[in-house]
Amino acid sequence: MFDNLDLSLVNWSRLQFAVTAMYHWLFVPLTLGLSFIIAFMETLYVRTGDEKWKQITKYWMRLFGINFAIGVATGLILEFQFGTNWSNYSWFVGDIFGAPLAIEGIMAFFMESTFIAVMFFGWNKVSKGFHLTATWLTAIGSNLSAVWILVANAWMQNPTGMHFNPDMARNEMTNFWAVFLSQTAVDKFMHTTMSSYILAAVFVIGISSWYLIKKREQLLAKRSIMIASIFGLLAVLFTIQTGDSSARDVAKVQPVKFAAMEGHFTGSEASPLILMGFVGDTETAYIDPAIDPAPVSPVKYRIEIPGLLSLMTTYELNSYIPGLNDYLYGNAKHGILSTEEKIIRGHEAQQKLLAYKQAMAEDSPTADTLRAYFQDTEWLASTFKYFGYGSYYNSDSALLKANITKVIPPIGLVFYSFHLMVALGFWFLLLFIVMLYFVFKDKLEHQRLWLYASLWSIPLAYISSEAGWIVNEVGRQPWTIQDLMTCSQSVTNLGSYSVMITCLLFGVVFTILLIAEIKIILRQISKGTKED
Amino acid sequence: MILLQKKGYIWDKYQYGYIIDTYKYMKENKRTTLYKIIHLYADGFRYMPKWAKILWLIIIIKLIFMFGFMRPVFFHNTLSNRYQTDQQRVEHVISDWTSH
Repeated sequence: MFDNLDLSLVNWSRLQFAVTAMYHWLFVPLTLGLSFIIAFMETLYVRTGDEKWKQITKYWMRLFGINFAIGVATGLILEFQFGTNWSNYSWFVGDIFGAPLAIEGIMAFFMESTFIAVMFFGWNKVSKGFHLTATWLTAIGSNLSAVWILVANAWMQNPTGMHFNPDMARNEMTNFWAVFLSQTAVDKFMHTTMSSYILAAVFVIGISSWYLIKKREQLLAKRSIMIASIFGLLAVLFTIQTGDSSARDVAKVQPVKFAAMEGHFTGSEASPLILMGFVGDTETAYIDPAIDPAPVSPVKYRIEIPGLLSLMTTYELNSYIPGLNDYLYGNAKHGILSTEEKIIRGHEAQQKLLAYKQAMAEDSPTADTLRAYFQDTEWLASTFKYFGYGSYYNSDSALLKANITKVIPPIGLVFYSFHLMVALGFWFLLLFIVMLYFVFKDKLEHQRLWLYASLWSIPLAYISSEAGWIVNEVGRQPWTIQDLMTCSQSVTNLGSYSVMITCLLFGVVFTILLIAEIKIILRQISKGTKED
Repeated sequence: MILLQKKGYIWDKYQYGYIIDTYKYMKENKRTTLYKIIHLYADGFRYMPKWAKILWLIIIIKLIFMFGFMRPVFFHNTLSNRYQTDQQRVEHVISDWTSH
């Protein structure tokens, strides 16, 4: 089945998308969070009339501006890639993605460019109230513009509210609200924005701590830490809540990803939650439960809490949580289809589509009968739902069985990224509480250990944020659209050298620009409030 | 134009045309909203610090690199370029989806 596809092309296309998306994500979370922190600071200036608050606001606004400028247009690369490298995918989702991305573009352009101009150029030119309004609208606008791309991403994780049109071979939106307000979309937006606020809060606290270590800008540092710690603390609490809700949603709509995140290979009642562990050889871990109901887990040296995974997933201590082997080999008792069965059904859906197109081309009367399948909700839910699995079909039963593990994502990367993200989330919770305590006790400048810890938490915040996206995107592999389309089906058949060249060009040019831009931001931090 | 005539600006209209005339009017009557908006951007860019100008330069280089080089050379819309009609595109994507 894979003979006519250059697998290095798929992997280069994946790498190119992953690198550009991760590069783009270096700038977005700080924009989302810092815009609100600035808005709070300016509100305090307007309410109190204290010129120092104005100076603090202007200082952070400067860093916000640099970050915003660095990030400008980095997201456009992803849109280029949709049309060129992922054209099959773009065709399949065209109608779903078109509207949200168009709204995002228009909204981002008008709201951000208008109000950001007032924010930066409007000091002493517009009234205090108008300036403050522009600052708040910049924050709200930049966060709202993130809604649409996150809704589109959520739809890829949980395709809903659409109907497949066999004539055009593309999905058409039938229910905007089902797409916009799916549990996956709501959780994704809330978790992504809240975690971005954490990153911004850590950024502000870290730089302020550096000033305290250097015994400079003490008032700016203490006030900034106070605002950022409160903001960060609230954000981390919401992030934990939305992360919990999101994980439960993933357990329902992407159970294989969930099992990979948790390192849960074998289903069991009162399933334990693995807090820490090392993923060993997974090749031998996939065993039919009918042959061996309790194989040895490849997650070694693990620290786990019995029953907690069941409790957190279903609110019942003794509930059964299926493992990867249940999804691979099926579990009739718990109503789980085997991957082999899904592949057969996916193949049937693909064959029906081919037969329909053939019948249409020949003007055959069977076309009506075949079209009826694509309007039959029962057939859509039982068979078309697994359309993408058909890619792993092989008429040789042994080869088909060998293909079933291809629907498993890289376990180690997903497991470690997930655990690292969660662990860092709790570290930030502790950091915000401690910093808040010391700032209110007015003992902050003497806590050198905590000041250094805050400073070195800045890269950790970025690692945590990127790790979240690795869990989200690598955990979904091999799918671009869950169960409907694989990466191999989505990719355009280009020369892999062309993708390799663009990937390397982006890598080189953007690394040079990033270095230049980091230098600018470091110089501005070093200058402090001199320019304000 | 009645307002401009009252203010004695009609002469400028014949010398420089309406646009310059209106701008001059705005400049001398700074309460005009349009003038304030133009002034906000013009002053903002004029008095921008050096580091901000460098950032704008980087943004321009980035945009030229992306839209002037990468997009025309490497990033074509594959389906639009290779196929003339939607039906051809449909046949192509179905073939790709079902043969991998």
